[in-house]
Amino acid sequence: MQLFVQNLIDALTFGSQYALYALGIALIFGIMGLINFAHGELIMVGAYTIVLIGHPSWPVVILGTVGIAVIFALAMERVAFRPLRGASPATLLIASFAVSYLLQNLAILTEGSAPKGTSVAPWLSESFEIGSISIRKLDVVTIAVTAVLLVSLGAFLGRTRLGVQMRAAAEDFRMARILGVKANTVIATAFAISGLLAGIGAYLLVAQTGEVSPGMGSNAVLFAFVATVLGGMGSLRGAVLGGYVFGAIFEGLQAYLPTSLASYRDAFAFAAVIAVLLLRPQGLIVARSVVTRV
Amino acid sequence: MAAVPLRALSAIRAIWPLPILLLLVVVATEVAWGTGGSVTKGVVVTAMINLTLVIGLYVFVGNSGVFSFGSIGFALVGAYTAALLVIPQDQKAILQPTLPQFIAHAHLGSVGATLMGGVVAAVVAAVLAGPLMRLNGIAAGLATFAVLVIIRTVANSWEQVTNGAAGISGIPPSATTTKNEALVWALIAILGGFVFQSTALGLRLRGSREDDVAARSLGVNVRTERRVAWVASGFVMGIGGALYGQYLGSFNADAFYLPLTFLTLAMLVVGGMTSLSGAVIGSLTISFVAEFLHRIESGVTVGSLNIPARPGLREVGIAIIMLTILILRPRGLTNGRELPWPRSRPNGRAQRVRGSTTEESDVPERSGDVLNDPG
Amino acid sequence: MKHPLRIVVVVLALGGLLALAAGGGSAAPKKSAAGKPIVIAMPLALTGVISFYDQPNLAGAQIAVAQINKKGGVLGRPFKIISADTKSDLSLISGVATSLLDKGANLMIPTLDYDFGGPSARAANAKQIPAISEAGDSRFGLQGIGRYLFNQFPSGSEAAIAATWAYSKGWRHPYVLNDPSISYSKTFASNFLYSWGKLGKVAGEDTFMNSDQSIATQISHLKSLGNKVDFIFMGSYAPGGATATKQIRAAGINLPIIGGAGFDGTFWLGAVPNLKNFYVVAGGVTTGGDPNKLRAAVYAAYKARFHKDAPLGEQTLNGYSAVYAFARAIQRAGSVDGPKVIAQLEKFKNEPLPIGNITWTPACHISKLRALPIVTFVGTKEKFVAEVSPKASILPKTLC
Repeated sequence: MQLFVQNLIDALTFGSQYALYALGIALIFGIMGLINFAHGELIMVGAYTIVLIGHPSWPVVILGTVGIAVIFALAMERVAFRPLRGASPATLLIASFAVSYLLQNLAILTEGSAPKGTSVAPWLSESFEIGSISIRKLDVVTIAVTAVLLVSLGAFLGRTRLGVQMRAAAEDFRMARILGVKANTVIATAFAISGLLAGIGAYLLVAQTGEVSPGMGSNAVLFAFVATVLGGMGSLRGAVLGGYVFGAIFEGLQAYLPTSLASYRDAFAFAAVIAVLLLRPQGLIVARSVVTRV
Repeated sequence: MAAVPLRALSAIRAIWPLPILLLLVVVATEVAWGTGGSVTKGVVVTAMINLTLVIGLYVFVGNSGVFSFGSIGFALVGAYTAALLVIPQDQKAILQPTLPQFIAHAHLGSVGATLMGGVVAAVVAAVLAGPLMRLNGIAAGLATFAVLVIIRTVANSWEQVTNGAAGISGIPPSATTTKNEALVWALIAILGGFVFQSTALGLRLRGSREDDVAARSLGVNVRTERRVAWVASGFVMGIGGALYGQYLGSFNADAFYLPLTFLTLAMLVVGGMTSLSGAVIGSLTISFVAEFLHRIESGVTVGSLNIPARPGLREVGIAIIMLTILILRPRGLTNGRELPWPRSRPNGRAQRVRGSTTEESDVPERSGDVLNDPG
Repeated sequence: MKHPLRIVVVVLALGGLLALAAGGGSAAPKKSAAGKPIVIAMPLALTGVISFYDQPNLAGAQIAVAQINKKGGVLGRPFKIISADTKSDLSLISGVATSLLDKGANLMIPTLDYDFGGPSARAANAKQIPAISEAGDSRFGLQGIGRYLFNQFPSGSEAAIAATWAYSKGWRHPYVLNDPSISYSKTFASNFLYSWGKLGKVAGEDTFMNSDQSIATQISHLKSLGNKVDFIFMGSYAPGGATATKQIRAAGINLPIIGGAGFDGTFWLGAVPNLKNFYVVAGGVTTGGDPNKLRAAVYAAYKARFHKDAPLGEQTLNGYSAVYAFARAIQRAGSVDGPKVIAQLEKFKNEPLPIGNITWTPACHISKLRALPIVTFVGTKEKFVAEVSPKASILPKTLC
């Protein structure tokens, strides 16, 4: 029984990580219709910053990580995506592949292809022991941070002027522009926020894994993509929910697949994803702007 | 009396892109083959195989407008199938003793094995077509990605048949894909793609790409059309995969995963997703650019100009050039159209070729649409 | 609408430029008056994901070549390495290897891996050019590729060595972490299960993928086994294996952990500062103080030339040893002729090379019974633990 409870807790923490990455993807998709596959490289760049920045105090490390991720996000938007505004989703997608490929290879060229180990905030790896159940401090922090970010983003989008403009742009870009919303500001802000999310995600990721490598962002972004679509494209709450659902599926399979089938884990997980999609093609939470008429 | 030559003329115009594309591919291949060393020769064969794969991708993605991240999975199926058929029995006995009897004893020549690769891939596609083609847009994209992961995981884990993560070895040198084989298959793929999109089914599918709702209101059964395209696409991908596997001689599932998926999708979109000419030109262009950069990368003397070595230039250069092409031509190099009939009178009269697309308006994923000018 | 035709023209123009570039790119090998160089082709991944592994391979070979040439070369002829970049791109490897062979190579040292070195080895084999390297996969040798390829690694035996040593320490109840993401780690784990199966029972087993960022579930399972486990076997490699190690130690589990060549080197230790009780099979003591004089000399030479420790113990030894193996075979054969050289290589019996005591026979080009060192970590440094040969009775079945 306690192993089951432990597994339940583990599922929750898996889900939080994916939810955090998914938020970054969902935000940009909601505004621009772009699935930014280069979001993984924002995480990678943030992670390398942690390794390269040395060992100053942790607020400095976090600020540096988030700062670099935001800078790269803004640069990406300005150089690659702004000129492509209005292009088809396919073009935007391939553009994001190209940016991702570029950044990964630049990382290999400048830092080498070897993984680098680093230890960040080791206290996060300690655990609270409640009876025989262990809860890592990192997991508590991740869940808390994700919740805070979700609430803050909701408040930002709902209550601030810029946030309301972003929501308007997501619903009807043309109309929003006619009404005076500045497209460049809105989109740049969205990218900056996604950079912030990536930087925070990077910090938590490195605290958990201790390793950085040029390709590390690919996995995170693929899971984010799954979580976002499962949860409902364009809905922030959906992205978070998708993260938890996918995390639960994954963790459940990890814990309960018999040993002989263990290496098929990913096949089962993605078969479950297809099943969920067939049951609810628009995702678990349908954003209001995504409703099609027929 | 003017009706007869007019009909002949419009028939010629209809198939006009086809011979041009075939000629282009043959010329490009022969020129590159004749002027290159061992590395370039290898690149030429790979380029033809990639062309076949991109055409396979186009048959579904280009005609239906539905993005597929999973098609390389069918290439994987084709590669493993062909390999298991083409490796001689005694080699299979040594390298893969646990193979089921009917596979251990089966043997076909390279052409037969390649065809079987296409057939088995098409069968897998057919099995998946039912559930998958019920989905649209992003959901379909994710579902096809899930297919890729599933196929890859099975290939890596089904030790008895696929040799698991160790992969298949022992393809005899006689089966190695040659330039002529790769070229011929690529030409057949182009022909097949052209014929497919010109059939009634192809046209109906392209109609649904432009406006799903309108097509359905006209009685087009979009799901069925898509299923057929999906299976046809699976067949061509299987062939391309079989050729690639036989070219490599020894491979595992890693050769058919994300990098190849991104490369082939990029080739299609950079060329122009909605036309066969786009698939061909995108594929050739990126192959050429990549090899050009590769040559410069190792340092080169062109006449009296000495360019120093710059490792990594190929990768960085391809990404930048792809982005540049997309920024300058967001609908791809061909603007999503077929190669048009050359205008004899430049008086602004637009010439339409049967089978090319009208002004595209890609079906928006959301009810809002993002405009094409800086805010 | 001239644009598409313009594109056709541009594409053809690019092809023309390619032709120009092709003409300028090839270099003719120079012939020196004294001794015509013996050319070693090294088609390696100098860029891309595998580059990290091939750089020490090349460095080791370069050091060996410099040493041998200083002493007058072999048969009065100097060695010369020609290398080209395979870019970690599977589709390029055989073309790159062939292009190097076409420049008149006599020998080859390919990438230390079956997938990335195999195509080069096949190209060499087709031209009767002797090739030496390493790979954990037993297909990397005579049966899998051909008569002209020789494998310095005890393929299949790495796990048996781990089992032999663990058993000798009195450990009896392993918990096995199996990482099936690549063939190397999957085979390492399954070979261990086979070898240990001949010695006793396994206390528990779990699977994880290298890209997993958390093994919380597996750790929960491990903890639930309590003191039924006395050591952990990790069939994995960095970075995922390093992450797993970090999380295991962070969960308060201080049991001994045994890993293989996938943990060679100290680059990954940053994740687990002051890691104790972790044992690596293969490699050597790259940070200095290796009791094996031959290995120590190689690492010292690396440090002298590159001003830092060798990043990987096994790869550095591979390039270095391959060159010396070639040198001795050529010396004994009195010629650089392919068939004569391989005849000598096939006579190696416990040949003392820095990488180990190598035995090759006409029937088997894998040195299955040779020893591997076991190394542990103290802070950021490595420390020698033992030199272990596999117990023959627990070896899994391999191609030869």
